[in-house]
Amino acid sequence: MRRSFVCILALSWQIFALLMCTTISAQDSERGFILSDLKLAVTTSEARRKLTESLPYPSSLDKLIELSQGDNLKMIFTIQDKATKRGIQPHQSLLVLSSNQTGSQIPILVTVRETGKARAELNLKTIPGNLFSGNYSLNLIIGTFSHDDPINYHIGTVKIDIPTTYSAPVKYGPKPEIHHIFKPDQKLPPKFLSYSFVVIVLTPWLFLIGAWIQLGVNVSFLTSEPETLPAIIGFLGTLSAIEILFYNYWTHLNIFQTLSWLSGLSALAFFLGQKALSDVQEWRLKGLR
Amino acid sequence: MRQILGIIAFAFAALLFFVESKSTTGFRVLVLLDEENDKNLYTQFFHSLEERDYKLTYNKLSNSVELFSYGERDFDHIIHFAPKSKDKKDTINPISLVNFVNEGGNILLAVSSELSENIRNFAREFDIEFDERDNYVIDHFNYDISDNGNHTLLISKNFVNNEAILGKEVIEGVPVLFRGIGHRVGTVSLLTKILWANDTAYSCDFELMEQEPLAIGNDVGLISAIQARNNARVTFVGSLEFFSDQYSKSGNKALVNDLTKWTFQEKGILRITSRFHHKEGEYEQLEMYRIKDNIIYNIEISEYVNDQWQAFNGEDVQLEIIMLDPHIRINLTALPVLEEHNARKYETLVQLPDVYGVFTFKVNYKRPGYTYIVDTSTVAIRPFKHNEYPRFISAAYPYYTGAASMGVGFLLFCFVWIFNKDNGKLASNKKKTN
Repeated sequence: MRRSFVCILALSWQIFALLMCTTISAQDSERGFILSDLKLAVTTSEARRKLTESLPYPSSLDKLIELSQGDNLKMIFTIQDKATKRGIQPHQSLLVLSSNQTGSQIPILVTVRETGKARAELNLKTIPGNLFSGNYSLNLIIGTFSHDDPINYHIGTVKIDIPTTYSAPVKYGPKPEIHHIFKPDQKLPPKFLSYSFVVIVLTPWLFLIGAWIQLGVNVSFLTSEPETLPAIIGFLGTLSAIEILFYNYWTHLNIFQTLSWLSGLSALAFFLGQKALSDVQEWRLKGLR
Repeated sequence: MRQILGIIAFAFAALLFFVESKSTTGFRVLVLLDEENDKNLYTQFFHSLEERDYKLTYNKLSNSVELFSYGERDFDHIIHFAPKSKDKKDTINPISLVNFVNEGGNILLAVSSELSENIRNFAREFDIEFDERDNYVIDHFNYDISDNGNHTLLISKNFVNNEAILGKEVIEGVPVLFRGIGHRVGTVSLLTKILWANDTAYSCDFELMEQEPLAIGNDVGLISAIQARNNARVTFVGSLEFFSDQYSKSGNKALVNDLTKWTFQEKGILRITSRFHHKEGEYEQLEMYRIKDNIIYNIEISEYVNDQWQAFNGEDVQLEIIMLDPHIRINLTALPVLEEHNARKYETLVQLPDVYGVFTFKVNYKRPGYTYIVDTSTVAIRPFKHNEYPRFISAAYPYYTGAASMGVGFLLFCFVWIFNKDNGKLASNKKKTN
């Protein structure tokens, strides 16, 4: 008995709630805002009017709103409830500057009085820390809990020209490549210059050969004293071998290899040289020279 | 006996390994709650963690619990669901939590609008500023119908597009429901915003607004995270309800899943498996190279995905060759992965600078969402030896010729001097007589 009563009560309550809901939603469709008498003014720091506009909602301003340091942007409008035609104080009434570059948003509080008169002000005498030079879109956002159709009204584009510019915060990511700049190779003089000096270095040969020809140089002892030849040729051969060793030292041998070769060759050169020069002395003593 | 002990130890280690397999850092989780019974609100969430082999220890925040014993962490992760506690004498306070993070522990922190100053102080340590107590994120444009005229149950789809943190299914998936408090995220590069509000949202209480809100629009952070320099992760969620069974619906569930996976080091984990450098054409890693040497540098990186190590897919690994400043920074080429290989090789051929000294080869890979990996190897770069300079340069031809001509001249002179029969005496005598 008692249970069925509770049941009926619950059911009737549900129907009532359902009815309430539909009536509320019917009302809601009319519950909107009326935005009117929107005026916009920019004054410079010298109190000169730079711009005055009155805008009918919902059209936006085509002109750029230009603001520089010291300027003051003021906006007034009236906000009313569509149903009651009376002033309303919405919970959210914000002017929002959204940066077209970075997407960051800066709020400007709109103060609304009970009569629905609203005013907002952006004073660039002191610049907010997060405001930078660049283009911002200016939106008016109005919304409240009791109304289901909030307003997001694009008023226009603001161009802000102030000394502070945006620098993106450091984020982890790949860094630009760095390529090492190598020191340029040492510059060599032109080749023809080197070759001409080679020729100059070789010129003494002309004088030498010329002088020898004039003096009548000969190699008569090469044939006239054949028994002394082996020692002398051996001596000259060891001298040539020493020179070839020096060439090898220049190209690839190290000092220790060179010295060990040289010690052998110089001993040989010493003995052969002594023999050869003794022969030459003998020729002189014989009066052959 | 020893063998048996060894087998037991091995079995134990294997068991431990098996239990630990899901997270790369550990399975011990401390759950902090305002009231013991609160755990019944999040049964599905806790159950999903237990399914992933975590061992949960529940604790009422006002009860004393030690995070460390003998200087070692007793827990690997903390789930902090106790925003209300104001007591400064609690063993868990901002300082102990920061210490926990410094020691490499991870924290998942969820707050409600009733958060205490303790929590706000903790968040400030990480450059995150929660809004005042009793404030909510409100959006008159995007809210869920089930919300009775409060306009605080937000619908948001503004996920961070970072697949290290959130899976593709979440980023491209359905929006999530969120009711809670907003925060502002600082500019520290270690921070990542994971979920934020729509452009028309604002963070406020229900009284008439008298000053500009802490944050509006996309500046209102809903979920943010920090990965500290020691790779410990702390995730801040502005809503406790977000984890409750009531909101454990498709979108939220998937996001919560990815959030815990990332926070507890199951996702976005990188490691270096090997590194090698050698001269071009040689295959030995040297400690000293010569200036202007061409060397090949390679490094292998693997990523922990779906509970196993796989080849990392990143393409932007860079090598720096540093002596005080980087002299060279070069992109490494990602090589195709060999089959059955769980790491990707990154390689480059680089000519060392013509400056000698002690250099560092450094791979410093820091990307939001991924473990920071830094690998350095120190090498000496020496100048040319005396015999490594170029030979036979054209400018020296006159000198070479001079020396050669001298040598040949000497031999020739010797030859001539020995074999010459001097007829000159006659000639000079002739001159005298003349």
